[in-house]
Amino acid sequence: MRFYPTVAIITPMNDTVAPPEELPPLSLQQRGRAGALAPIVVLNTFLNIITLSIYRFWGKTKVRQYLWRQTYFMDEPLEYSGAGGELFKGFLAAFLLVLLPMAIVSNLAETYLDLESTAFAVFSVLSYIVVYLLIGMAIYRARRYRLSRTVWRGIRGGMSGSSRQYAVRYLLSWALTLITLGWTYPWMRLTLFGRLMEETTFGNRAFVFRAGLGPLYRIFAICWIASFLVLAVAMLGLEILGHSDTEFSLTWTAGFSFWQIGLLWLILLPVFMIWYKVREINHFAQATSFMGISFQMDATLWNLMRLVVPNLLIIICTLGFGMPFAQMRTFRYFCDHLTIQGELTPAWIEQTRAEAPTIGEGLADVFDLGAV
Amino acid sequence: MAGAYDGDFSDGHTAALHEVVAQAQNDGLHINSKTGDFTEHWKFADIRAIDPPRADTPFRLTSQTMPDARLSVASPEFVDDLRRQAPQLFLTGFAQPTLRRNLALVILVLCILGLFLWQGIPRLSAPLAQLVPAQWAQKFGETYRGRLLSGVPICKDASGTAALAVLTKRLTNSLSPPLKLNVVVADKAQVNAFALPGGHIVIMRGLLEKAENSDEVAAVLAHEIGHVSRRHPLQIGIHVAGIGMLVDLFTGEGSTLMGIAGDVGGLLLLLGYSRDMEREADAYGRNLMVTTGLSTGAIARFFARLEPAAKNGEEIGGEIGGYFSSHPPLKERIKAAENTETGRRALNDTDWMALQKICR
Repeated sequence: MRFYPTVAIITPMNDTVAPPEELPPLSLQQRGRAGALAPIVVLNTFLNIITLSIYRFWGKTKVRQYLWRQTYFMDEPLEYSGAGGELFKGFLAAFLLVLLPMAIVSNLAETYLDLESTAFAVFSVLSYIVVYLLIGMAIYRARRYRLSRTVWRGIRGGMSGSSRQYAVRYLLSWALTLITLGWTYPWMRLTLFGRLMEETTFGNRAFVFRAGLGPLYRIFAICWIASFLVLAVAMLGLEILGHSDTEFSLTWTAGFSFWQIGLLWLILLPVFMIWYKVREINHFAQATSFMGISFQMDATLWNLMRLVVPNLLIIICTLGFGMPFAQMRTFRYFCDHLTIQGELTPAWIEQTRAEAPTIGEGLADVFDLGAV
Repeated sequence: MAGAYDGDFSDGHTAALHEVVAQAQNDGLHINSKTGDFTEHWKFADIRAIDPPRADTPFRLTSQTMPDARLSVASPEFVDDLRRQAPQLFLTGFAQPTLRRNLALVILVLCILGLFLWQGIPRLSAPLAQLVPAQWAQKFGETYRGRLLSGVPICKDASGTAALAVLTKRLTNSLSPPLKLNVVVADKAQVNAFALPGGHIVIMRGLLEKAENSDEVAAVLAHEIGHVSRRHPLQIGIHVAGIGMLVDLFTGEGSTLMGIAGDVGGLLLLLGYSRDMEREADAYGRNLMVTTGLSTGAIARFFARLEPAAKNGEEIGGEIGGYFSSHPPLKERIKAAENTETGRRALNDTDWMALQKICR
């Protein structure tokens, strides 16, 4: 901790020796308290209800201001410089330019095209493509907005690339993952996350992301096969039960169709993928660097579950209004489990020359992608 | 004389932190580098607080003249000094002009939207309905009819259909410009009839069974033709779409809007016709009956017969806001249906019998 004198000191102005900046340890800390966040959340909930949710843009901003200023990098709090009005304008723009035309077109198509026809099938495929492109764009733009409003020592973050290129990448890699029954998923995650990270800037400096696919594929294959084996064993078990003479068997003797098994597997797979997720978090952190400083996460199955399960409970029990508490827990999780190594010379980071967007996150709001 | 306090300063050009001494004087805030490299002078009017002062964190400030620069001072005495010199930095709650402005803006927007919902959409829907090309409306109505009547067969008995065509033709012969209609009977026991966008009219079997003669059916049909000619169904469709738009604007989701075409009953269920629309259609129907040379008394008797049934809670009209919707009250409509007898029938006995058997 830096020592801040609390007594007024009259310092002579003619001190000519420039003391080198004493650098505090490289650390990221989240010091927010649920007790201090609660009044903000309660007021937001109330105002959201009486304004039929229009207040949400300003409420979200208040929460971010709190979360950001309670996040300390090198003992210096971050700052969220965004305004609720910017989010509101972003939403209006997305609503009028994207949502409204899409709604009109889809209603017209549903009305004038025969639902069984080829034309309608083509239309459906096209609309999926458009939606995926827009989601990719929304992710990128929301990130750009948030980073541009994240300030540390007066310096802003940003995204240096193009949201359109990211959108195309997003669409194509998802399509490929669908075609390969999920087997390109680790590659997709790597390419998409890598792109976001490499185009992330702080001031005039960019992040670097260098990751291999090998370690991810090992754990992915294990999870994939394990889920399959468990499914097979479960099926076999149910089959045997089905032939026994229990009351239970009556419900199951009909057996399973191909689709039912497929559906069951789709539910089972994400559960097994938690092991993959843990590995991915650590792998991606390790692959990231910034001006020579490196990052390390120590995510484990246990600590990730302790983050995710209570977060889900918080959100469900508060009907979503408690979301900021879950967000603070997520912030804290990343701050607590992140180790930063190396030496950073802040004087070498100059202010970014990129224009910051003036309105924000409209698409993300429309597509309900609002993470924080 | 205000005190001088140690602080940290970053100039907004690099992330380097400089140790400074900050002093709030009468002409503004003076920031002097401890090394003597630079001095800054911020006028109080330009200064903005990054966040409200807190006991546990340094007080952070910036200036409109150097929006990327940051000064942070931990000393609470510094905050007290500033509080005296620049009280505008410490406004909370409703004292903040931006909060007051935003609140006024939100209230204004809500009022405008409310007004739009209450007055704008109903007023706009009639002129907008006139703009929809007839072909679109026709296709629109067809889709709706398919969805409203999903699972309900349309009666197709040949001589019955011919009789229905005779009746329709007789009523619309005198119209100019001619009205394109598509009248069908649906095999459903409800006593009801309704019009859809694009000239689609559906009469339910129950109505043909309850009617004692062809004049009564003709009167109901004339009334529905009234709705069609005034494009009431389309107006309601636009009205519903407008409400859906506002709902989505508030919730930020596209679900309501996206689903309008798929929402089966949505069109008529949500709103039904207004009292004025019903009166308009009643008047139109009565005129049509008179022009065609038919009795207007028949409909009064039909109403009168239905009234006790409606009072007993018997289902008349049912789930779709069709001919026998609750407004205007039946009594009023019976009175309004002036009793003129011409002695002519809408259909001859053969055709009337065929029409009644259309669902066989």
